[in-house]
Amino acid sequence: MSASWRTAEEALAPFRPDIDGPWDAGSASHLLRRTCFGGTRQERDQVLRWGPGAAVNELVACPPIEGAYASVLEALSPLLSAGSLELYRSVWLTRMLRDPRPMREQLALFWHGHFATSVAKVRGPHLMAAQVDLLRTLGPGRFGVLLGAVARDPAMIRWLDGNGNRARHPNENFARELLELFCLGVGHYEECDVRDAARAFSGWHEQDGRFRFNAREHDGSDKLVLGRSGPLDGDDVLAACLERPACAEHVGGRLFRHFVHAAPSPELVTLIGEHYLASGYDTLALLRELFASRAFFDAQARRSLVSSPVALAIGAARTLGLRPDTSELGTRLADLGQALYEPPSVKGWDGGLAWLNAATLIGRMNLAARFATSFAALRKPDPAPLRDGVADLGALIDLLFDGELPGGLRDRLASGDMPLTQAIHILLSLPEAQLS
Amino acid sequence: MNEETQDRRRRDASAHCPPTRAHALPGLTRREILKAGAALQLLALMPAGLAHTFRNVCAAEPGERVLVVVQLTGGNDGLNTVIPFADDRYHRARPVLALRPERVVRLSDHLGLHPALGALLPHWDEGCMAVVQGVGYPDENRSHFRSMEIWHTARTDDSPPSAGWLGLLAAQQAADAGPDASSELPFVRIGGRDLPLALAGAPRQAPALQSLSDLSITLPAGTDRGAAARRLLQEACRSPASREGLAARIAVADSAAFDCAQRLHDLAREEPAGDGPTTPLARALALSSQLIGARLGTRVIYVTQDGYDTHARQERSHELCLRELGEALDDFQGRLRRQGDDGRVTTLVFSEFGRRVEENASGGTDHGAGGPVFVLGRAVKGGVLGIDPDLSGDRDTDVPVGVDFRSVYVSLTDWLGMPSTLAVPGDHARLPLFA
Repeated sequence: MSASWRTAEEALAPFRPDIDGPWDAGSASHLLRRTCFGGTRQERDQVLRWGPGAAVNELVACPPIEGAYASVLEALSPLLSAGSLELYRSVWLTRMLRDPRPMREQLALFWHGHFATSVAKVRGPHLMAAQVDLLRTLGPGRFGVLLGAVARDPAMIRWLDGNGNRARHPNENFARELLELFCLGVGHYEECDVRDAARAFSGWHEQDGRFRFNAREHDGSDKLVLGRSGPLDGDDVLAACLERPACAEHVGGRLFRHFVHAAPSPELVTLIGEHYLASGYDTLALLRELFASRAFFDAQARRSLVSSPVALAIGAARTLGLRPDTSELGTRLADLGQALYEPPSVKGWDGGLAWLNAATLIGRMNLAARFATSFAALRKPDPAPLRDGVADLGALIDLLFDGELPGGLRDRLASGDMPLTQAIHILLSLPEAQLS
Repeated sequence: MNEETQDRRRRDASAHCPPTRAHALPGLTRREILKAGAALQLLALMPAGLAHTFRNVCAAEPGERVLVVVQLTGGNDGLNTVIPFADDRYHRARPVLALRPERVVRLSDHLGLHPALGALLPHWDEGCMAVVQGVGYPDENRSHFRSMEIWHTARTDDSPPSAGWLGLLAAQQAADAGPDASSELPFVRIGGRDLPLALAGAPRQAPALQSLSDLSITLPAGTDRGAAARRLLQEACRSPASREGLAARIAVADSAAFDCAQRLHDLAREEPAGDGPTTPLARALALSSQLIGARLGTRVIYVTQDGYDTHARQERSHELCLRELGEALDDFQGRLRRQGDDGRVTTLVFSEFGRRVEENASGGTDHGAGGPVFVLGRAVKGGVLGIDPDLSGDRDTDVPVGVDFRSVYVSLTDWLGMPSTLAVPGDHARLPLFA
């Protein structure tokens, strides 16, 4: 199917139901998994009725928080002033579970991997929580605004040695990652750009958990960064990055690989970069375009991403209507390789097959066992068991896998009178269940 | 520890020596050879075939060798670990903390171990323990974080640390092994949930294991017919039938995961019931021995022990740390020996820095520079390497650094049979750590 999009323009054009492919339960679940981690049977049916255009508009939005979810957050807020790492993890997972439109959490998680900062060096869990709040609030908006805020973020300054960047002793840590990881990518800058960019950020310090511009430690002399010259400061360097097409391609391409599929053609990345740049780096607008595209609903994109531990757990819980203990879940997810607020390095999580090894696969199966037990204990499980706790396997397989399981597996599983817990355990443990 | 206990420990140690190893050289046990001194000189005199046999009893194929890294977090007080008890300046610099000569566990006429490390003496006597003195790096940094970063990355420059030496070693291994060795457990960390920087940069993040149950498959509560359910689960997950792409690759990985769980399950059944180790470090090392025994392809295991940042009233706390360390290492070596894996496992014990020569006014010691590292294992050539600390400096001095820590690293990667060019950049001298 993918071969039919001869050009990047065609791949990025809006998906037309029945012309480009069917609009069916599978398409609706695919959209729900990628925008909302997953959804219940009712939510899937609602998305199906909306149709692709309206569904994307509805789900790829970060509307103001109100109603029942606002009360949930309000109830949590007194805990947040000086919490522990475990508490902040638990609260973030609660947000992912409970937000009726969790796109903002999906994006916060994406940016957390992009601007990967770890509590291991920052040392203040509250500073990490504040950084992710910033990613959550500004993440859907313009990338330039987000970038400016991240460059002043106290956790980021601690993480990349901002206080060590002084007029006479520049520290290149932040400047290098800014160019290499946050904006441009290797090959789109020179060593001299790093050196002068570091000087431009000298004096951007953190004090008592707040940003402070330390004028005495700022090097106000002339610099040359990415072709811009003069007594540049940090904001000039950010602007110089943002006007480079390479920046829009780097960040836009990363959004595509995270939300659509892992192997966009170079032409497609170029086109995504053009659109991102032309929109003034409007991230939500780009995401709407990506999620509505033919490329997104293409067979190449479906079940093409290995779910991160967080996406796996939140997805299963949202699909089955579970309310797991998020405090315990935070620790389990750390054991599975995704410790929130604590990515392994400034490069973030590698993702893909790197999530999986014997230990984490077994851990994923054990998490599935936990969820299966919780599901069986629900008062009104949906899909409901057929009788005496024996699963309606057909309905379960439809909900979890859009009915698609490799040949014979569906029949083999459905042949016995399998108890609900066992059926859920097996289904959530399957290789297919690790894919989004 | 009194003389009698020491003697008993020595006798126990020789009793541990498995007969197969003693038989390798007619008429001489390995211990006797080592006691006689220069094993290497003896090797040189031996006929080539015999020398080869001798080496083989101590060494496994490089592909089966395992490195266990024990990190002492906080900056271990090296001078009160390997003690220059005959040096007056040691006693003068530490009026409160110095250990009197009669209390130390003597390694030679001027060096001894802290008495809490008595459990290591048998391993020393057997020639299975090397002490490398004065290990560190140029221009020591006294920040825990920075110094640990340097040890973890094997780099002293300011380049941003995104990968550790073991992570890069894993990357190289994975590149050499090809893409489908995806579910082995080549690099593992035990205890602690935080990924040490040393292991960052691996293509697959080293899993963190807390206990063997992390590698055992739990069926949901209320599942009856356990064996049948387990079989059904395996069949559904591992059968590659008509799977393709990513799902097929995960099915292959699942298959290996089930094997891994099965082997550890069988092994746990064989394990005689008894008093398990009681300290966290001993438990972590016992789990390491199980992983090693299960032959899951594990090559590097990372374990940490906290509590070495002893700025005040360190006498008791340091002793407790060292006692846990010594007994855990002794227990670990015993397990490896009983399961026949002692020849293929080497343990490195390091800390991010040593502490100052002079004690401080609070009965503690402050961040210093060089310190000793221990290298333990049947394959190791026992003895002291490096230069004993020169304590002749003025007040507020450090234990000088005589051996770059990267020399230790590359000697270990050589032994593992892994190329160190990516993991430990630069040219570093090799230490004669192995027989």
